Amino acid sequence: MAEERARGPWGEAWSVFGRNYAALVGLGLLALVAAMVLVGPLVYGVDPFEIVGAPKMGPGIEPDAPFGTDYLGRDVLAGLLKGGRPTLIVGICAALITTIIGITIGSLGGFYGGAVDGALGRVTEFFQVLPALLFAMVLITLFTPSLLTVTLAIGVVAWTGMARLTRAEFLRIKQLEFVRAARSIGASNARIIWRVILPNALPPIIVSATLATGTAILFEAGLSFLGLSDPNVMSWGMMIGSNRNYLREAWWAVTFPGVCIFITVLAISLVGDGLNDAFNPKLRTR
Amino acid sequence: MSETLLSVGDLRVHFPLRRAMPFAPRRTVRAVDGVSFDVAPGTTFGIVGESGSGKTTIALAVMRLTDITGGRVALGGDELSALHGERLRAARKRVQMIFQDPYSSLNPRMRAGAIVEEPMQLMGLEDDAGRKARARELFTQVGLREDQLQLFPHQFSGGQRQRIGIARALATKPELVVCDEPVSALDVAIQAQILNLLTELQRQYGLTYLFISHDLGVVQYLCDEIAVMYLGRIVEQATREALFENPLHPYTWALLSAVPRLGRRRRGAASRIRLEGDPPSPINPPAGCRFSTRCPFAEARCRSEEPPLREVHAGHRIACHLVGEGGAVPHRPGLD
Amino acid sequence: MDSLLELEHLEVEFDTWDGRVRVLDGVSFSLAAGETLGIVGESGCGKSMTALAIMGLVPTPAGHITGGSIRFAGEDLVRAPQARLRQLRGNRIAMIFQEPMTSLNPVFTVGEQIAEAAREHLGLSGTESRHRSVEMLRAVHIPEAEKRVDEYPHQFSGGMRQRVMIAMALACEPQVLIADEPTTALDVTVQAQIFDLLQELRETKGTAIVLITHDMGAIAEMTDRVIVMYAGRRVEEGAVEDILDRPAHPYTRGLLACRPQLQLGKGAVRPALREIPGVVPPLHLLGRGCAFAERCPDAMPRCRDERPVETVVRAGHAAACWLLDERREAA
Repeated sequence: MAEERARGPWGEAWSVFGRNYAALVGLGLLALVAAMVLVGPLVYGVDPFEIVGAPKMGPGIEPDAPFGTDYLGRDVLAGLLKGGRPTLIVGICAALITTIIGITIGSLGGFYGGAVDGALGRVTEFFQVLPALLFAMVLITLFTPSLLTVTLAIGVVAWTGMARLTRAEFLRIKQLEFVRAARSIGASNARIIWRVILPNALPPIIVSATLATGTAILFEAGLSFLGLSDPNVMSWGMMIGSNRNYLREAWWAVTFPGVCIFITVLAISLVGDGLNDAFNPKLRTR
Repeated sequence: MSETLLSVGDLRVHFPLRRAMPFAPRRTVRAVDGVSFDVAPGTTFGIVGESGSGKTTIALAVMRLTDITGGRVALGGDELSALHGERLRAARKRVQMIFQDPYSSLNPRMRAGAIVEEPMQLMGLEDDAGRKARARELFTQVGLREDQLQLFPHQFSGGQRQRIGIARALATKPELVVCDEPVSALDVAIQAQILNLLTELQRQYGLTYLFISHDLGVVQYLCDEIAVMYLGRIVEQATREALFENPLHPYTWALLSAVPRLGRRRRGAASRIRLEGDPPSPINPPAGCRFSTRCPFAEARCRSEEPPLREVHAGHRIACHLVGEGGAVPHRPGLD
Repeated sequence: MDSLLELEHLEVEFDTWDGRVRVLDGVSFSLAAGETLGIVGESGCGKSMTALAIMGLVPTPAGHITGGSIRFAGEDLVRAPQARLRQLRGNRIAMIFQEPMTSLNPVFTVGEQIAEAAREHLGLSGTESRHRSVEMLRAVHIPEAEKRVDEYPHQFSGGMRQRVMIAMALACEPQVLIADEPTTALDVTVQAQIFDLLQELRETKGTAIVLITHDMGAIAEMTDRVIVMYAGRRVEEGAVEDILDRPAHPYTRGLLACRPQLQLGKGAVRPALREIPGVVPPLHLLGRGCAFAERCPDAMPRCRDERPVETVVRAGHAAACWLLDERREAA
């Protein structure tokens, strides 16, 4: 008989993930982006708002600005390195907010059902039918644009999918016998929600939260493009937004941050898909 | 009956259905509709019936896992059906359940040892070391190895998972163990292992079982007294010997004759009561005797008047107009 | 005896995470017109895979038929092209499944689903095929067939759905009907009805039936001949009387003794029960010897090293067990 190891469901998922090349590539890209964003500004100390040379200077012309300068003569490379951090922070924090709101509303609705579910369902639908971008714009213009308001706005408009997913998972898991077993040994509702059902509902929630990070980054870029971002903080979205009128003359000032966003979101999607496969081994094909 | 551990009196469990349309009359599923029985300590009381008979609902009602519409459930003189909140939670250690599906009854994200310790932890029994020791002891008792305590449910076979479920049910040293079809999801060859384990545990620890099953062979193997249910009601109740030697109710007779048996080769149909159709819905049970729509012997009285459950021999209760005093039966008695 | 369906040394292999495993290993049987053959064993013994192989439905790309033949009326189905299999499937060979709840498509009426096979294979027109549907529903004793033909699967109970499945399978009057645990999901009184129905169809239409089951009681009531399977191998074959009264393989004896058999009438006692220890071994861990050796109460050293060859016990009754060999040598 083969040696039995106490490898839990998480360990099992990790080993499946480790065999998924696309997901590993995504993870590698993500590590690269993280290194660039975290270490880059320390190594390359140029202020992204400082005017370092002539405006609209192409990449490779001036060794001081290897990725060129934007329409004001600011260093594009400095912007790329420094502007990644707010982009990622907004993405991750907004995804966290959607996850927290979504899990809370979805789990309570799914677990208690009845009138609670009805009420929370209506709230979810209300947010779902609001045009997300317009609503976020209204929120941001009501309070002045800053990293915090942008993050909150994205979080508040994007949680409905997470709530519906969590609710569906709760409805499914709630009727499995181990939930009944937990009740029969005297577990409280809170324990059943947090310790029994939620851990079993987490895999799809984690996948969804990962993908939500990518969506939030795109959302942030979209808002910045429309000029609704913190003017005092350099971000990839803001670089695109402020340089978009000069696309013909200085394509690099728009393209490089665009590529950064593309790679980051692609990497997140690959990791998310990999997690999805890892958590649902039955769906994978050989 | 001499001593009683579990006493169920006029138990009713009704589930309201959603209205089909606003202001439509609200319909009710009468899953269990006036059921009474007593279980003596150290014995196994079997409840058999087909789907929709309400047998599992009785198990859930005794466990207080479903709301009781009416009647009472008492354990050793304490009325479980009257308890609420913290007192109900504390009483749960006295009644434990073995579930049907070993694949969904264990939390996949907990280790086997933690699953067995959890009831003790929630009930505040023993300290940490004591719980660990008890989990090891339980594991040995149900035929698992101590080194398997660290494994997760998916690393066990179906039969082993059911053993974990049994260990969990025994963790709080319950007075009554409710077994809801504990072997029907298992492979044929594994069922015997679990049935033998259940009888062995009963012999060693004097357990009392309330055993729910649709499998008459299993019920005959394990149970001392048996109630046959049809559409939320007990139609016949007797000791094992009496029920299988001399079934009185036409439904029991039909049920028993429908079981495929080794002795009946190739053409079995000749020796059966052939029941037409499926059991009617418990939403609108038929008037009169609930079995009258499928009973081959039904008379006018059966369709209008509901037969009471009455005792025809000592300990042999039956709900049928057609069975005479002393148990004269309407059907051909001989079962091969 | 003229055989309608004949399997010879059928081998099916599967690619899994644990490497390539042989899920069917040399399965043979023959089925004559109007005969009922039982295939019995635990889950994972290859019963259902045998059925899928006959239907040409071995899951691809993981599974392959790697050896042997399946002859239907003389034609080898293993080498037949997909198009030919599609012609036969649902037409000459039909199958009914365990789960009547999920085997019907919820968005079509039962009439449409029965008619589909008739249109496909018999080339019937719309009206004709509808007629055929009603006729089939009547044949499986569904009351008010004219009305119910236009209803959807959710309006039928479990037993009625299995009847609809049988009606679908029989729409083209197949010569072989494969029934894979057809009553496992049903209540015992409904199971009796389905068994009666299958018997009746066999008698009136001469359909040959392959009944796949784990229940020796069903084997006793329904079948003429039986093959017992274990870990993808046929361990015993014989007439139903041979298998039930004179089982030659320890596994067959185990299957007979491991379920409490209902005892009825005067002097009915608590049925006896003898368990088969252990579980079916994972197929990739099978050794050289007998697959059942680990669980066998009578295993000898030889059983672990050498795969038993099939020994003929009496005409039409054979088993693959070294004990028989010993006994014969002793005699």
